[in-house]
Amino acid sequence: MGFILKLFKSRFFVISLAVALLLSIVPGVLCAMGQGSYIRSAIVTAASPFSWAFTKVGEGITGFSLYFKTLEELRDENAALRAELEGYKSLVYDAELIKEENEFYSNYLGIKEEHIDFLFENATVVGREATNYRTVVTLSKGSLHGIEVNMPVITEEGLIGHITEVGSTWSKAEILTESSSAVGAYIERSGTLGVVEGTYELRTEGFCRMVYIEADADIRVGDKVLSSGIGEVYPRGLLIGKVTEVSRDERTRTLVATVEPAADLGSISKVMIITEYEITSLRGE
Amino acid sequence: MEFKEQKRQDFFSSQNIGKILLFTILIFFSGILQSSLFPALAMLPASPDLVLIAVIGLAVYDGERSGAVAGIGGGVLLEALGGGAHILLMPLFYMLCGYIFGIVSRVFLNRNFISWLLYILIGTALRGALSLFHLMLTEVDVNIYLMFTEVIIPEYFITLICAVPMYFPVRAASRPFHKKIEME
Repeated sequence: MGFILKLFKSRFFVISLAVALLLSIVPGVLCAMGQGSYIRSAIVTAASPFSWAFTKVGEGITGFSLYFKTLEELRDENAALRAELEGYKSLVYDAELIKEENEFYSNYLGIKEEHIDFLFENATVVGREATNYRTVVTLSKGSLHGIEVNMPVITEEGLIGHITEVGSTWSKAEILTESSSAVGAYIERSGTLGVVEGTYELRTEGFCRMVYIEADADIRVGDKVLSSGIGEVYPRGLLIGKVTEVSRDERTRTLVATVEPAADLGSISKVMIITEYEITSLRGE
Repeated sequence: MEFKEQKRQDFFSSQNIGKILLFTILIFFSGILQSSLFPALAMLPASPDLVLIAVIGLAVYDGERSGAVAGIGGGVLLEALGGGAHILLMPLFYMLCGYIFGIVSRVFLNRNFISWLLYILIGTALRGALSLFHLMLTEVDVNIYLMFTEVIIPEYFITLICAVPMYFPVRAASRPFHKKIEME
């Protein structure tokens, strides 16, 4: 209490208090009355350029920090978009698979329409054992699916080979180019008969050959080679490939044609195993 | 310890004129920074009361007279820059802060950074109380919880944080006029 009384005895304090009260109340009252306060307007005028400059500095700093904030947001957004993209990639991959499957079934339908007597079992290539001497593909279907030895294996492109070994849930197929493979065949254009067999020399290049062609047979490069149905393994009319070269075997005096398989034997993924068909052959006709 | 009034200085002495100029610049730029730079910094929850820091600093290091005058000037400056027809009693509040903390510092406590920080703690709390009181008088519906969480408490802490760097210009501004005293 004594301290406060002493304060009020101070002339400086009393004057300061009066001035402060005056300056606290009068400008506010003047403004409320719509009268401009000269002190205020003078202060604001003097402060304006500095206020403007410091506001700009503040905005600049905020903008700079926002840049990093935005960068962080962009990073998060980028991560989210990447995740989304991965999702879309997966969808595209699925779509590609579906498209591939669709194409497969379309072709399958085409083959089915072409050979109404055929019964198929779809299978996937689950393994490919290739040695220097032999290439065998393992398929996903076996005896439980009705697969038996010697059943022909095809793709929508053409003949692949035949089943050589069957397990309960798997089977192995020997492909056309193997030297142990032999398919009764004919030239589609001329009906010339022969046998398509694999040889060790040609298998490395992915080709096979058509032998036992009569010396005067009408055979040209580019001719389509189809299965003849002779031999009771392959049904008639399956596309084997096309003739790429014709030569004469001087020893047997017959023609030999090099055949390029229609199916890409190096990248088979889905195949169809013909489980049933009516045996008709060129000779039977 | 007994309260004695601070010795009067010759107003027109070159030292006093220099002091007034220097302190005016300090208070002026504190007010400008407080009302322009800090509100523009969107990342800060509130603006620090730099004028209060400067006023208390001058009161502590130059005495209650300088604190009171700087308080009146700072209050007028803040009211002018704040605009509007409100009677916020800023000149009165800052003047009282400057004068009383100046005396307390001179008579009861040492003039050092810690005591200055303590005055700022008290001053900022009083400033928050005054703002709340003013709002309760002028506004119909005042959400006291929001006032505390979004204005008073952030302002309190940001003022305390800014007091540390503000110590140096305030100390530097008052030091040239007390070299003789410090040497004694």
